[in-house]
Parts: sequence; structure tokens; C-alpha cells
Amino acid sequence: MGHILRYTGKKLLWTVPILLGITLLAFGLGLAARGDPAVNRASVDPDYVPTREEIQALREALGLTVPAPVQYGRWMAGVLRGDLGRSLMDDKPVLGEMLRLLPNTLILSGMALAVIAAAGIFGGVLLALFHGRFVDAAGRAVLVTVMSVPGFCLAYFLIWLFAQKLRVLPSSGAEGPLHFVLPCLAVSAASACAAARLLRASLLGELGRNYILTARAKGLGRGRLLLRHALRNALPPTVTHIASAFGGLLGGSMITEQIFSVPGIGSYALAAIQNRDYTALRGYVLFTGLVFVLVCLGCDLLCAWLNPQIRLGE
Amino acid sequence: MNPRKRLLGSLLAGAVSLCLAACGGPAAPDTASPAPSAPAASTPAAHGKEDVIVLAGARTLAPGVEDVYFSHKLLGAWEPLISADETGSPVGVLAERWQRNEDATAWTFYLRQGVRFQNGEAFNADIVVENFKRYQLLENGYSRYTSFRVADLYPGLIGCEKVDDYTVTVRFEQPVPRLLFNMKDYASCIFCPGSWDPETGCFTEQPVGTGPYVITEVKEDEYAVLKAFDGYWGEPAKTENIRVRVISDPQARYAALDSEEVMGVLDLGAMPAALGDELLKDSRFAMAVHTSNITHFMLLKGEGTPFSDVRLRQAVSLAIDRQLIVDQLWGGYAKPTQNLINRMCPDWVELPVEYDMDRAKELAREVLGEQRIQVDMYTRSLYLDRGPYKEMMEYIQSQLAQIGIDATVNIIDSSTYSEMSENGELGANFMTHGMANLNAYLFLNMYLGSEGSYNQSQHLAYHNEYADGLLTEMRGTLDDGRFHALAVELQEIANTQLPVIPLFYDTSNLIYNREQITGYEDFTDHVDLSHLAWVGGV
Repeated sequence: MGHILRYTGKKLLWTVPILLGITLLAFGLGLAARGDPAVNRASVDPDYVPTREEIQALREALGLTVPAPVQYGRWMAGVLRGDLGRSLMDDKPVLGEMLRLLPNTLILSGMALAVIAAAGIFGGVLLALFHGRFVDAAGRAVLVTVMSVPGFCLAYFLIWLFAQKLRVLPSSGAEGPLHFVLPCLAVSAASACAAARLLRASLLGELGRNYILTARAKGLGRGRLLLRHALRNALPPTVTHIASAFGGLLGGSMITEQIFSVPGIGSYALAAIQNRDYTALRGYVLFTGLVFVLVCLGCDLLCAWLNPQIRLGE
Repeated sequence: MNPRKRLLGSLLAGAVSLCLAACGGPAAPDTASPAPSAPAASTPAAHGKEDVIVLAGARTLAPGVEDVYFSHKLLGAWEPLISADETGSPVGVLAERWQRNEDATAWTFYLRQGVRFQNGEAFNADIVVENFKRYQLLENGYSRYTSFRVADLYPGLIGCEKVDDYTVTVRFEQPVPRLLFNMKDYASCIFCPGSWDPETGCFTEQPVGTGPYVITEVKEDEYAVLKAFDGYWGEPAKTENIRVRVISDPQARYAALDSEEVMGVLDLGAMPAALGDELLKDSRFAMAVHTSNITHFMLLKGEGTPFSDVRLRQAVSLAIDRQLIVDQLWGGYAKPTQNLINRMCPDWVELPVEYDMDRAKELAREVLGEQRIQVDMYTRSLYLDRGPYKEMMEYIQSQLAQIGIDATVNIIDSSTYSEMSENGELGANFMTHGMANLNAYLFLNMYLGSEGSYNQSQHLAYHNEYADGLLTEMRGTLDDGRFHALAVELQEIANTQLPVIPLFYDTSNLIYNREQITGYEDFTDHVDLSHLAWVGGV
């Protein structure tokens, strides 16, 4: 137990420089990108062309004229006080907006995690169970096909099939649980397929090991061997894969959110990029960075529990 | 219990909770019934009073308190003093009539009586005075639709004073002869006092208007729920409940219509022509084509380029077959034009639209000789959702190649566009421009005036002293007849001098399910939600 706590503490300490690094990177990229948030904000009204003086005044009001390190320092000071700043486009507090949008992202990523884990594990076990037979070959072909389809194509296909043709699910929106089903399938399909392939390969690897041969010699059936003995040892790579996918999903799925009109963290980031709203973007990067670090930490702990031979941090 | 088993139990419990939380997300609306329904029967179903008409738009129509209007005019939550009729002429809404003094420095408005706000408070002169005080506080109010610039809308505004309970006078330091155009819709929005900060004029809570619909619920970027206001002074709304959803993706709007989750689409770029045509193959759907104040333009950078020569601009214009663009790419719904100002403007005149490739080649040869020039053409990525912009630019690219201009087609995001535009890096620029308040002077001056905002910002480098003189006279004239004559002359100048190249007038193509709802066809500029009704009645 002690080494787990030490490991967790060390990982959490590492979070600080990692987050500093990624926010610095996001800040630097923002400075390098073309476009000026002050111009964007001043040009909202198509019937009015802002003067250079107006744009300059807005730059000053938004604090964009002070040197970049000072801007970054001020922002970081705010972060330490729990204030992620205000949007450069509409002055709304970044933290408040992210908290407003977070429930949709959590619902979508939570559902997607469940689908990836369930479908990935079930698919992987099934294919390993029928290794070398028709089910295995056909299943792998299906997995590769689904993985090869770009996410947005799959999203439109799902809308066409389930909303337009079968009319069993709503095509877009975030107004109720049913609205999340299609976006969830769209974001989870490729990851679930990859998880199934990964698990199948790991299981087949485990099945060739000595402890499995011994168990088989004792008369254990293939199914029992797979589920009771091989699965647990084969799971860590799949868990790592699922955790990475979950971390990505918590950061928002920009394209899926856009297509299915689910206002979430991803669409917030997309709008921030389009508007060069660097304050909003930095808040988003900080959030996703933190989520990734925590998910990776959780994943490491889970893998160590699944397979005690894994020695954390050693 | 074994610690591992306990951990496993906790993890399982967590996973189950996560799934339950996911499934128990925001409650589904009880009456909106966004879930898919069976295909409509041929006989219209009877609808109850509580049934909800669900519509969809591409953007949010109720952005909230950060917006100086809180909601788009389309939702009918608030009303202005002045709007425009189908000819583009000013028409009173909360102001019944008006008169001005001789030099147009004092405008008196006679207000409509018997109007109540949605909270029951009476509308009167005191309310208008308070709203004008708010206008003065706003100075430069932010909105997603059109910003509130007091100095432009009410130049030299001294203030608004009450004459009697239903009469106010608005005074200015200088003549404002076209004030009624400036006041159209957004610029004279009226809200019940108390919902804004007396120091800034910004809303602190949802404002109350006098419109036919009350906004009862707003979920930002998701939907707005409207309920008919039973104390409305005008014709009561035909439908009690309307929900307007935000569906940002055009393909998803198409799917929502097809699956009958929504009954109609509305607002800007509601349905691209190609998708609209596809839906119209199905007899359930109809399209209400409304005229729009939006014109599509091609802007050529004149500063330091051969396009400063009017003959080359004319060559470009003559090389473009606008009718072909409209027929082949915009489904025949738009209207080709060479006129700078929009056909909704009351001062608009019809001018010829020419396509003559031989003459275009001749003019280009006069300017370029045997030399070929290169032009980088740009447009913003947001236009791709509104229509086949890329295809149109590619067509123009092929036409320009025939007159010695090698053009490239570039799609860029709005931020990059703004910076490149400011730096004069856009060789040619495709864009739309809406004529929001239908004041011909403002629009003509933007492009034709030597100091015009678009002339400068887009580096058109158009300069015509005669046109400048006409614009100066136009700005100050108090004679409506003379104003119109000047507007016509300037349109003719723009038609031949082409400081910019107009391509076509847009239309607002609104698709709706005609087996479910009616009322989409009634209007010009946009749908009036209070006219929407169920087929077969309630």
C-alpha cells in the first residue's frame, strides 16, 4: 500500500511541470497563430468596420498589449486563485462556461467508456474463443472495417440509419438520454474495435503460456481458461488503451459534438480556436491536461491491481 | 473482504453509477417530443393546445444577458418602435406614427396605446425614455447579431423626452434625415425597465418585452422554449408552444427534418440549396423562399494591383455568368445582380446584368496585353455551410483563366481572414453583406466613398470625386425625392465602375413539413413565428 501512495504522490507532483509545460505550449501556439482576438471581437457586426484605433483600444482593454510573459504570469496567478480568466470574445468566465458544458461531455464520455469497455472486452474474448474459425475471421474483418471508417462518416451513417430510416433514435441534440446514444456510438466505435483487437491478441498470447498449458492439462475447458485465467493477465494493455480513449473523450470530441449538436467541452475548444480566444483555449488545455494525467494515473493503479507483477514506478 | 474484491466492487459500482448517470441525464422535455415519430399520415392529426411546434436553426437565437438584445428578433419576445414593411419602407410597431421638424433634428413619436409588457406593466412614454437612456449607456453594445453603436444609429443624440403619456420627442445635435431606417428593428428595441444595470445598460436578468411570445426557458446552445403571450396587443399567436432548437450542422438539420423531429428550419443559411432540393423530392416538404437583405460579392483588391483599372474589373464582371451560378449551384433560388445595394431597399433600381466573354477578353487584353496575372482568391470556411462557395469560386477561377487571370482558390478560417484582410493580403475576396437597416446611403458610402469603411478595409482603392460629392449631398439632404434620385445615380455609377463585383441576391430558403405546419409562406424577410399553426388546427 505504501508504494502505491508514494507512486501516486510522485505522479501528482509530476503533474505540476506537465501542466505548466502544456499551458506554455498552448500559449506559445496562440501567439504564433495568425489572427487577432481583438480584431475578431471588434468585427462581430458585419455592417461596421472597426478603426485601427478601436482595435488597439480593445487590445489594451483585453490585456493583449502587455508582454507575453506578463500575460502568461497574470493568467497563471489567476489559475492559482481558481480563476481561469474571461473569454476574449464575450467576457464570460472560462471556468463557468466549462462547468456549464462539462455535464454533456461527462455523459457522452461516460456512456462511451461503458460501450468501449463492454464491446471491447466482449469482442476480444469472443474472437479469441473462436480463434481460427469463421467467427474470428469475420469479426476481425468487421473490426478493421469499422476502424477504417472516418468518425464523421460513421456519424452521418448512424444518423441516416437510426434517425432517418428506422426512426428509433433522435438525430441530434442533448435534451435527453436518448440523444446521446448516436454520438456515443460514433465516438466509441473505433476505440471499441481497437480494444477488441488488442484484447484478442493479448489473450492469444496468454493462451500459449505455460500456466495455461498446465491448467489445460488439468482438464479445464477453453472458455473457463480464457475467462478465469488468461483474461486477467491479458487485460492491462486493453485497460491502458481504454483509459487513453476515455481521457481523449473527456477532453471533448469536437467533430462529433459539432455534428450531433451536443454543446460540450470539445465544441467550446473549437469555437475558441476559431475565434483565437486564447484565454478560453488555455483553460481548455489546462483542463484536458489535468484529466489526462489523472486518467493515466488511475489506469496505472488499475493495471497494478489487475496484475500484481507490475511494480509501480520501479 | 479481500481488498482486491472490495476494489473490484467499488469499480463495478462506479461503472454502474456512471452508466446510470449517463442514462439519467437532463430530463427529456415532456411535451416537446423530440423523439422520432411515425411518418405523418395523409390526414393531419388533431393537435392539442399543449403540443409543441419544434423548429431548428443553425445558431442560438437566445444568447442571454451578455447580448444587448437577449434574443433574436425572430423569436418575437420583444418588439421595436420601428420596423420595415415588405417594400423596405419604415413601418411603425410600438410607434404608431411620427413626424420630424424641418431640419430633422427633432423626431416626435406617437406611441401605440393599450400595449402591455409580458409582466403586465403598461407600455408608455416613460418606458421609451428609459430605453433611450439605456441606448445612451450602451455606447457600443455587444451582440451576436448586430452590435448597438449609438454614435452610428443615433448620431448626435441629445436625448428622448416625454411629451405626454404616449408621445416622445427624440432630439439630435445635427439633422438625422434617415433616422427611421437607422431605427429599424434592433436599434429601437423596447424592454421593460428594471432588467438592466443602470450604470452600464447591460442586462442583469432576462428582459421582458411586448412581443407575441414569452421566452420561458433557454438552454444555451441547445434550445429556447416559447409560449404565446395571452395579453399581446396585436393578432394573437396561432400556436401556443414553440421550441427552437440549435442544430449547427446542415446535414443534421436535414436529418432532423426528414425524421420529423423538427417541423421546419429558420434563420440564416437554414438549408443549403442542394440539401433543400433533396428534401423537396419528398412530398411532405415545401420550401418558403423569402427575399433576403443579403448580397453575395466578389471584392478585388485595387491597391497596387491591375484591378485599380476599371476595365479589368469590368472584364472580370463580364466573364462571370451569374445566371449559371444561380441556376446550377444555388438551385435557381437566388437572383443574379450587378447592383451594389439590395433589392429590399426602397431606393433600389433594377439594373442590367451582363455576361459577355468576348468583351471581357477584349477589355482584359487592353489592360494586360499578352501578360497573365495571378490572383489569390479567398473566402471564409463558414460560408461553405451556407452554400457551394468553393464550387462557385472554382467556376470563376475557370472563367478568369480565359481572360488571362490565373486564380487560386483558398478557404480560410475567419480569424486568419480578418488578419489577412486588414493587411491587404486578399487578392480577391468572396463574401456576403447584409443590408441590415436598408439605408441606401450607408451601404453606398461603405464601398463607393473614398473614405468608405469597406473601401478602406478591403483595400479596394476606389476613388471617384464625383461620387464623393453625390454621397455628401445624399447624407445631408432632407428631401426624400432628391435622396432617391442620388441613390439611383450612385447605383448606376457602381454598376459601371464596379468598386466591388456583386454576384447575386440571396434568398432565405426555409424548408418546412407542410403536412404538419403552415404559416411559413406569409412573409418576406423572415418567418413570423406567431403565424405558425398546425395543419388541421388545434
